[in-house]
Amino acid sequence: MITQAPDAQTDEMMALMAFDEHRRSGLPLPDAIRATVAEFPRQAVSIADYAMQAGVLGSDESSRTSNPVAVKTPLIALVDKIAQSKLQQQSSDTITSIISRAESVLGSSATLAQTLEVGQSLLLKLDRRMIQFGTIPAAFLQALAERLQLSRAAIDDYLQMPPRLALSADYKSRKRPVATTQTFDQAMAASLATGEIEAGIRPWQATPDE
Amino acid sequence: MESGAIKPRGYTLEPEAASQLSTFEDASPADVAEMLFGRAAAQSNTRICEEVLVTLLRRNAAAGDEKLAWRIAAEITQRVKGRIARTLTLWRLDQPESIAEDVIDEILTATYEALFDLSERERFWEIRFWVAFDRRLIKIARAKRTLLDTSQSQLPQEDELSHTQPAGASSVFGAPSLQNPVDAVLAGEALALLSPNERTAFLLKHVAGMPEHSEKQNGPVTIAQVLNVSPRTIRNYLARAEKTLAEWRNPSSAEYSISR
Repeated sequence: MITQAPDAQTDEMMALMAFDEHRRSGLPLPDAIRATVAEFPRQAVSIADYAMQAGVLGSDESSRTSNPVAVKTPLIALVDKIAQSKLQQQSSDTITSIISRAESVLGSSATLAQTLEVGQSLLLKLDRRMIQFGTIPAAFLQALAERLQLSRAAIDDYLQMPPRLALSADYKSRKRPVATTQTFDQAMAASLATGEIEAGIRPWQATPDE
Repeated sequence: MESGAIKPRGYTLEPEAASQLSTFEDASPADVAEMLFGRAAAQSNTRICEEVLVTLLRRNAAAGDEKLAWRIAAEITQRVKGRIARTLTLWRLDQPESIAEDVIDEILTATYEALFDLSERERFWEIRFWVAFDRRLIKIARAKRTLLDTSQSQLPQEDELSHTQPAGASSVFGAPSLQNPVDAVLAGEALALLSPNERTAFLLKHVAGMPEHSEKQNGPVTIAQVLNVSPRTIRNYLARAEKTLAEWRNPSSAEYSISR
């Protein structure tokens, strides 16, 4: 498996990975720092801090037994307690994709589109959060939550996150692409215009809830 | 500078992780759950690599199986909790508990967000988990430490003073000495007392052996070039760093409480 750094924003991560590679290849700490800083001078502060952390804690958690930084058990218990609370909260009621959730609960996203009487393109826009949240009718949000067997809050949380672009698109431009959004009515109109849904079906024109 | 000069490089999964991952290739979510959490897994001596766990988490999240994805997230959390606690200790963020709670919450939130961000930019977590995780940890710890150092009064509280010299530190590290910079760098607690620029300058000079500056056009990379400041500023960073570290070695010094 190979991944390529998509743009300059990953410089810091590339620098730390380069440092890690140097250390894995057996380069002593001073040489690894020098080589990495020479290659990534703008990341010198990050490299220094990473080198300090790696020098003290080791490069992974398996170095725990010989770890010189003694940690009190209550601190680990505190991490555990907060983690359990967050995991419980998340695992019970969150989604990472409306389309994936529909496929998992209803078998397909087409079924969800059909039962909600909206076009699949509108669902896709919702999935990528390209529809302005404040313009979505409350009744629609409620129906969506029920069909996906989620709480209304989980749906609201998902749709209020920033819009995202297609995950697998192969963007050629050096400029970062920007996701544009539209209102719920515009998305409905687009579905009607393309014949995705019949002209007589427009049950979601209620007043937005925000 | 470096983004234009350096060609994007490809990073490959470690052979052990690649080999482990191949065993999950055609596995259904139920199979994955059994292979990770079933009886056979509990009896096996093989430790599944973190990179494999992240890859499986993201695959299942993308396929809509959030339940399994979060179960894997819980397993990853077990692997990192000790490191979070050690990082808090290293950066002196373990006391008071309210600060520790804030930082832990922030670290876990950032970690889960990254793990469940299925975009390409977070793919590094699948290739070098600990590098990606440490990067997040350090970023959050450094920002919090800097904020606290800035907002706290010049004179430290009683409990802070006892905290900067952890019990047993000298027996673990010996007596870190500026004459032996490798020992000094291992005394991470001491380096965490420095500002980011002081720490970087100190480490580049005393551990990496880089020159502070150079008159030569095509000479070696210098600390002044890297930090983009004058040689005089570098000298100031180093002087302050050495003073702080000297005081750390001798906490009974009255100067310590004045300077911090």
